Amino acid sequence: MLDFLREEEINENLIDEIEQFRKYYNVKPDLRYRIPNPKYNYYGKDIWEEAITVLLCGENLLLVGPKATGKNVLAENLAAAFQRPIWNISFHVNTDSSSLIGTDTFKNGEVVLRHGPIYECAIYGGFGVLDEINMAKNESIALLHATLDFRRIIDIPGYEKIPLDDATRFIATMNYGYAGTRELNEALASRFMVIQMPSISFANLKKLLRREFPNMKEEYIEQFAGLFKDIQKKSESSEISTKPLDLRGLISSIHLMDKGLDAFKALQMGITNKSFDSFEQQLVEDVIRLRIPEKLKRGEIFTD
Amino acid sequence: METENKEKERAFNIIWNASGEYSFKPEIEAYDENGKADIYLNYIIGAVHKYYDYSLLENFFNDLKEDAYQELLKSLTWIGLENCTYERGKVERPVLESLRQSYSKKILSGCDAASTNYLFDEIRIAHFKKALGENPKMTGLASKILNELEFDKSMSTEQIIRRLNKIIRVYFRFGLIPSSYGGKRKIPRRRHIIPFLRLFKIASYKYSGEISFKKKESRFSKLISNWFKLIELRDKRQREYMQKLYGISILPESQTKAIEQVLCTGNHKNCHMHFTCGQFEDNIINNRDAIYHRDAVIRQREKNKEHYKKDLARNNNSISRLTNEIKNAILANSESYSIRSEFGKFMAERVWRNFYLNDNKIFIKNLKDDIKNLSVDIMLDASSSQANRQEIIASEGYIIAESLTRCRIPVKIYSFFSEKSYTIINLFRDYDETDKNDRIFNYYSTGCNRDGLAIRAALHMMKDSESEHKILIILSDGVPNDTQGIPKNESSRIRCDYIGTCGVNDTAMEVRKGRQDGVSILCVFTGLDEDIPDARRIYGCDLACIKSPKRFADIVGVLIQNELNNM
Repeated sequence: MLDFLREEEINENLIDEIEQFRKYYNVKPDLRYRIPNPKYNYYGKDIWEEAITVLLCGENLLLVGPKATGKNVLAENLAAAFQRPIWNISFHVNTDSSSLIGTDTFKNGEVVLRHGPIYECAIYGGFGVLDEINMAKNESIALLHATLDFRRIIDIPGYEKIPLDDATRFIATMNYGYAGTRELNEALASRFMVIQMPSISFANLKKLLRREFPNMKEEYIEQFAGLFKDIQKKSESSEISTKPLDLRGLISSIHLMDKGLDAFKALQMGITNKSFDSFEQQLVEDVIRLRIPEKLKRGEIFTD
Repeated sequence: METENKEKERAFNIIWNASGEYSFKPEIEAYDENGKADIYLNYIIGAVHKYYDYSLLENFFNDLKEDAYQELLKSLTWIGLENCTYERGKVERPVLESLRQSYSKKILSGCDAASTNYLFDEIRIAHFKKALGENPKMTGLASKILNELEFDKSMSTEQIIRRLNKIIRVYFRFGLIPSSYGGKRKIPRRRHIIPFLRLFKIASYKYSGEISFKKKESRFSKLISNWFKLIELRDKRQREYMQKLYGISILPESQTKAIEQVLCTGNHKNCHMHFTCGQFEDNIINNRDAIYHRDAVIRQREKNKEHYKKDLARNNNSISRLTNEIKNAILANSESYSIRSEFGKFMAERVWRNFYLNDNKIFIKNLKDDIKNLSVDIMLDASSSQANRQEIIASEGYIIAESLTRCRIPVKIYSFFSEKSYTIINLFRDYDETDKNDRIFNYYSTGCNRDGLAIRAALHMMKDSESEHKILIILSDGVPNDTQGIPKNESSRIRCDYIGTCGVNDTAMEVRKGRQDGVSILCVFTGLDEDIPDARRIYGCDLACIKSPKRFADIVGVLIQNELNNM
C-alpha cells in the first residue's frame, strides 16, 4: 500500500509517519485477518494527504459525498495503509447504542455483556468504519459522543468504564448531495474532521481502469471512463436516478467482457438494468450507444 | 401521445448528453421514420452545441426564416454541420464511425438515387454515399455545392456562417437554380431582426389614499400626535383597501396586529400581513379595482380548471401514483414491533426458560418506528412573475394536495404575494376541509413576493398544528422580489432592495430557521432554468425541478418519500 502511495506522490513525510505508526502500534496475531487487503485503490492525492494527516493527529474522519465517490474504498485503503484491523458497521434506522457497544446477554446462567463492534474496535485499537452514519437516528447513537471526542472512553451503565486504545480511529461515511438526504446533527458532526469527497476525476478514473485491466486498449479505457462521466452528468442533471451511476457495476461489466461476453450485454447487466424503470433504461442505453459500438467483441477491447 | 412524449424526452437526453450541457432546451430534435428518436442525428445536434457557438447559428437560422428557400437552406446547413461535427466528434467517440455508417445506410436505403429530382436529395445522397466511402455520381452544380458544404473540422462558427452565406449568394440567387430544382427566390433576405423589447412588469401602486397636512400646528406635541394619528389613519385605510381588493380578513384586526408584532420584525420591519380566504365584501360595487380583481380571479379559476381538465387522464394518473408512493412510504415506516431475542432488554420472568428449556431468547428487542403523525402545508407563490404559469402551478398544487388528502394526511393550502408593504396570505383550505381541495383553482397571481416573510408567516401558522412532524411544501420560482427593501442594519435607514442576493439570503435564512425548528421545507421549483442556482441556495438539496409534467408525480413522490423516511 505504501508503494502505491509513493506512486501517487503522496508527501514523503506523511508516509514516514505512517511507517512509524505501524511500528509503534502492534496488531494481535489473531486479529491480523481483519487488516484489509483492498481490491481497489483510491485515487486522489489531495484527499489522501488530508485523510492521512487527520488520522495521524488522532482525529476521527467523516467522509461525505454522493454515490460512487469512493468513500468506502478510501476508508478501507486507509486501514490498509496504517495496517490496522477494521470493523465495518452499517448504520440504519434501528441502530442503537446496544447494537454498537454491546448489550446484555445470558451465558451459563448469568447475564453478561455481549460486546458490540465499537467496543471490540475500541479495545483492540482498530479502525471502525461507521458506514452511512446519517441513517441512524441521531438520538440513539448519542452514547457514542464520549467515544468519539477527546474523552475517548466507552461508559456503559452497569459495567466498567473502558478507555479507547491509542490506535483506535473512527472513519464515518455519509451519503449526501441528493434531495432528502438525512442531516447529521451538530453534536455528532463536531466530533469528526470532515472531508467532502469529490467525484472521481476523468484522469483518475482512467488510472483506476488501467490498473484493474492492464490488458485493455487505451482507446477503450477512454471510452469506458467517458461513459461513466456521461452517466454521471445525466444523473447530476436529474434526468435519471443515481441507480445506473454505478462504478462497481461498470468494472464488473468489463470483467464479464474480459470473459468473452458481448460488451452491450455486459453493460446491460452492470449498468442499464440497475434501474428498473424502462424509460430510464432506454436513456442509459442511448448513452452507452454513443460510446460503445453495438457488436463489440472481446478482441477489440483487450490486447491479449 | 405518451410514446411521442417519451421519444421527445429521449431525443432531448441524447442531445444533452452529446453537448455535455443540460441547461438548454433543444430547438430541434431528429426522429426516424418510425417516430423513434434517432441516436446519430440527435448526437450531431447536441455536439454542434458543444463544438460551435450555437447562438450565432441560431441567428443565422432566424435570418433564414425570411427566405423562400428556408427549408432547403436549413437542411443543407445541417448536412454541412454533420460533416464537421462528425470529424470533430469521432476523436472523442470512435463509436461514431459505425453509427454514421449505419445512419448513412438507412438514409440511402430509403431513397432511390436515380429518380431524384431535387437538388437537396442529390446532395444528401451524395454526401452519405461519400460517408460510406463510395464515389457518387453528381451533376456539376450539386458537386460544387457539396464541396463547399462539407466544412472542414478546423473551421470556426464564424467561418462556417461566412461560408454558408457565400453558398447562398453564389448558388441561390435569382435564376441560378434550374427550374427543375424548384422555383425562384421570392423575397430578398432580410439580414436584421429587430430585437425584442423586453417588457418588465412592475408592481403597480394602485393605492391613492389622500393624506396631507391640512394646517400647520404651531405646537410640537400636537404635531407629533397628529403624525401618529395620520399614520394610524393611513394604516387603517390601507388595511381597508387590502380587504376590499383581496378579500375579507379572516382574523380580527387586533389579532392580525398581534401577529404582525411577532412576524414583522428585523428584515421585515414596517411590513404588514393580511390573512384572507379570498371572500369578497358584499358592497364592492363602487370599487372598480376590487371588481376588476374579483373578475380576474374568476376568469383565472376557469382557466386553471380548464387546464387541469385538458390533461385529466395524466393528472389523475399522477395523483394515483403519488398517492401510492406516499402510502408506501408511510407503510414502510410505520411498523413497530418487538421480538424475543438473545440480547436486548432482560425479561426476568423468562429466566426459567433458559434453565429448564435451554431457551436463550429471554430478552426482548424493540424495533420501533413511530406511526407518522404528520401534517403538510402547501404554499404557492402567487406573484406576477408566475403569471405565465398560473394554470400549471394550480394543477401541481392540486395534485399534491389531493394525493396527500387521499393518504389522510391533513393538508393546508395557501398562496402568498405582496403589494405595497402588505404580504397577503390567501388561504384555500385548512387541515380539516378535506373536500375543499378544488379551491386551489382560485389561485391567481399578482403583485410581488416577499418569500422570507411569507415563509416566516407559514412557519408561524404551522405552530398551530398539533402534529409531531410538519412538512412545508413551497411552489416557488426562487426569485424573491419586493418593493419594500430591508434595512442594511438595525439603526440605519438605508435599505437594500428585496431582490437578488439580498432577497435570496433573507429567504434562505428563514428556511434554515424553520428547519432548525424541525419543520421539513421542500421546494417544488416552478421557475426558469437560470434561477435554479438561487433556488438551490435558498432550499438546498430539498428542491425538485420539474422539467416535464409527466415526471411531476415521480419527482415530488421521491422528495416526500425521502422526507417521510427521514422522520
